[in-house]
Amino acid sequence: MILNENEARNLLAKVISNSKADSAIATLSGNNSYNIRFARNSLSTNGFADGLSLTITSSIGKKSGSVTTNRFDEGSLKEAVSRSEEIARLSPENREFMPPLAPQVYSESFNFSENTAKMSAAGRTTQVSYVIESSIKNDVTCAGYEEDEVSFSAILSTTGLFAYNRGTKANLSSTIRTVDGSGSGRFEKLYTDSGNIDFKGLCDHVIERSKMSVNPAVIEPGRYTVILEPSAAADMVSLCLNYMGSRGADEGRSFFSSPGGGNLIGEKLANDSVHIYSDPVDLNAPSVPFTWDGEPRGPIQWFEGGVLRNLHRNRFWAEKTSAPSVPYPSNILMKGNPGRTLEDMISTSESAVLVTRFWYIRSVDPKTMLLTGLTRDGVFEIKNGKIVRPLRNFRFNESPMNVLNNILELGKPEKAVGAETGDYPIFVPPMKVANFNFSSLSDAI
Amino acid sequence: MKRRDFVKCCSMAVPGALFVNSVGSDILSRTIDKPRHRMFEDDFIKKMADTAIFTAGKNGASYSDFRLSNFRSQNISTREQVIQSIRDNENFGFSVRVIVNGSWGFAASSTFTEDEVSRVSKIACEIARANSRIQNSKVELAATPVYNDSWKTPIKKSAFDVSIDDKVNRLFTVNAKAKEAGADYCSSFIWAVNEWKYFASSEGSYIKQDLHRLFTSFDVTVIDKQSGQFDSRDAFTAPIGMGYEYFEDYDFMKDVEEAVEHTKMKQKAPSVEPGKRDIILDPTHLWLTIHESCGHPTELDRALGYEANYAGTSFMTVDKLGKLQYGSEHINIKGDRTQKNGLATRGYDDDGVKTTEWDIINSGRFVGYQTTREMAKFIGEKASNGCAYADSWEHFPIQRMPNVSLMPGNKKLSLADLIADTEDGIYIKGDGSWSIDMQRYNFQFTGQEFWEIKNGKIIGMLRDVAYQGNTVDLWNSCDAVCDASEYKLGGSFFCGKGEPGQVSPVSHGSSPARFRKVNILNTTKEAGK
Repeated sequence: MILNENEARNLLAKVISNSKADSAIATLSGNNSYNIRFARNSLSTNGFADGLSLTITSSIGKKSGSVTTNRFDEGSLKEAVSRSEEIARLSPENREFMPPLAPQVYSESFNFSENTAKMSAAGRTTQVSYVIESSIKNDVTCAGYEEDEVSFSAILSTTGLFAYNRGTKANLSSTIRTVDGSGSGRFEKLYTDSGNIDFKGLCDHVIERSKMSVNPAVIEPGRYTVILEPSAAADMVSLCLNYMGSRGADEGRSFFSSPGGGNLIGEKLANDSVHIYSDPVDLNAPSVPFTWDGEPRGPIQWFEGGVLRNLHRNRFWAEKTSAPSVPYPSNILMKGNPGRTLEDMISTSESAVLVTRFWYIRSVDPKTMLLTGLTRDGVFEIKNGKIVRPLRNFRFNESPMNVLNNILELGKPEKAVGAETGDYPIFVPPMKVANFNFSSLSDAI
Repeated sequence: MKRRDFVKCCSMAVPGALFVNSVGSDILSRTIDKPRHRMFEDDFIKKMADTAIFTAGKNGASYSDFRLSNFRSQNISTREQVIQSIRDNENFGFSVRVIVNGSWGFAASSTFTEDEVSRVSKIACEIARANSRIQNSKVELAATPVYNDSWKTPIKKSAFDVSIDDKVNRLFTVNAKAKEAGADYCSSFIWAVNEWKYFASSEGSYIKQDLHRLFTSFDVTVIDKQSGQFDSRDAFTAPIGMGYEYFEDYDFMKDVEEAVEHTKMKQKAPSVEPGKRDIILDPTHLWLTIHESCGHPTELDRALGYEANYAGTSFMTVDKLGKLQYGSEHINIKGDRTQKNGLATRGYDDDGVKTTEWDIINSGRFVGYQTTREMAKFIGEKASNGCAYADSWEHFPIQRMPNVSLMPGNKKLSLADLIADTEDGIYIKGDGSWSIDMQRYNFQFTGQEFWEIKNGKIIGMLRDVAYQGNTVDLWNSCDAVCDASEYKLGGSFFCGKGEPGQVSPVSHGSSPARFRKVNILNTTKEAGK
């Protein structure tokens, strides 16, 4: 269910009016989402969900309790508030308690699109039909997913803080495999505006890629120069963020801990070309300009010229360490070279491995930020500026910090979805990286 | 005891003290003793179900089902003597699933009124009709008997009936013990879930279920100030289909003391030499290997390509059923949705099919898949083995993993016997990092404790250990499985699958098992250090 700003404010005001706590913060979120799933060149499942959910966090002194509910009659709202207060009363004090913020000023947001909000059933099936029909025509097998959603979130606290955001997302992905199972390609795009999804171009490209990838050749695992397409680059960049908490670094249990105590902010940890930042109002990856508790999100630099500029830091740790609060970001962007296409990067590479995307990435060792995962849906050998043959998939063991250190070249950034990034907005360039560690071969297609 | 005294008590290390219920009279049952589904009479719920099914029939559905569910959870997390969060969640809603012209239609809402039930049922039919225009193969369901029944997880004590005080007190005591034992940091949590659901179908079934599960763990971190080296270890608890009795009965004090001691040992342990070694996998570790390398590849929907766009497909394709020698003769693996304390245990699945147990691997041979009513026909089965599950009222039920467990060996064999019989190996406890490819061939796992075995004896710890290999090679290299006296359950609350993403709870039981000549990696060397 989507409430407009006034409706959300009125409902939250009703919730907060029941509060007898020293402080309280109520958050409301709702969505209208449609999805269609397809496989084996036909539809499989689908769905429509209309949801609305309220979380109330009440605090008595430094004791807090939270209740989440999707009951909205007056009695239930009162009960939710009193339940949260009862939990708070019975809880021990939280020494790290932070009171709700005073009213804040937020940037204008750009994460809503009328195009997506008005998406019709016909619009959905047009996209999906094209992928299915093209697959049948080309004698390949598609599976995929279409989802479009309108959502909102609103916050009101007893301190008068109010925030509201309405957003949309449109997602289309498809994995297209050859009938003999020896080749596979995939695309996935996620935008605020469904009109940005070039489903015909993406589908045609991936059908071609799936056919190019049949009967992959075996080369020995080892360290290779790779070109990571934006989906693969998105995983490497965004997974860095998971390790970039200031508290873990300051406490000595992070890659970003300084051996002598403290953290590595100000140290040059990556290649000169590495500029990574977040900004919710950047139109390349628009996102929500505030956190769950109403803290404003502004532009923040993570790496500039390879130098670590910031780690994320919650309000408690910021106060304790007399450092600025840096909320976990709602998007991540990396500068690249707008004049260099992926094709340019391939055509100027003497010898490299082209990686379409990764899969099943997991942390192996937080001390080195070592990750493991696999390549998927298209690995190709590049020789003398040309893709010469498909390669068998690899398992990699590599640290994203090694990747950021070994960059040879960056291409034109684009909105990308990684294997582990979900619907997190990411805008990254393709990367050419030296010395990437492929640990073993995988028989999987 | 007053609140202030309680905090003070728990802020101190309490040598030898087990959990003291500080304020037993402060039962917080009022927070969640009126779950929303109990606000409606059974007759009213049945009337809503009948409305949904009647409306669907009037709008062209050849089949329909109605699912009302209320997911309640309470999550308390702590760090040292600080509460990080206390959260009560309740998520109530219903869905209507229909087949019109051979296509599925699905719609859901959290507003539980007669008008909304009718509206949602109509929307589901409209979606199905629209989709049927581009549907190239029609949905057909395997037959199932009609049931009018109810089922409840057999628990001794509901975690929702226990005070928050008691839970926090126990967690703080664990954290305090860790600090006393020399940990720099310790966090801990308890997470209780109650999944209530009501299912009705146009075929005449009416099924009510009340499912309970619990997950509790801690994580200790030890930092070597001189070297800057840090390491951590989680509890060897298992998420489980039990009530609060699991939390009360588990020996946290022993586990947390060992966790700190072993983490310190690990920091000083030699880094492993890569190469081929025998490994013995403890049930606290082996559950995840079973999950990834047997549970997932024997999901029929993924073998058929229904998960190709996300989770992947499977090397265990339909043509290999009954033929593939998946493992050695010691390998017997069952799917079981009736297993005691299993997270995937219940009376009926979300297709309304009565749950059962069956062979997946028999003496190493691949003999069975996991199925739903929709999938069963693809392997010529007349009935589903009951593996449909949706993690929320707003999600479409898909094929999800049952409890998939390795059967203990028939011959008497303890873990001590197995270690004594091993010349040169590594005994791995606890689950660490895991990753496997999209057809479930190539895997890499780490653990939490790695004990080096030489000439039948554990001689110390190793660090930086990972093992890597191919599923069929690994299971065929198994030459011993300990007997039932060593059998334990492991599992996960969060097995992910499907689009939109859904999580399902699942358990995996096993006894320790030995695998010969497995490829061991050194993770520090892999990082180029």
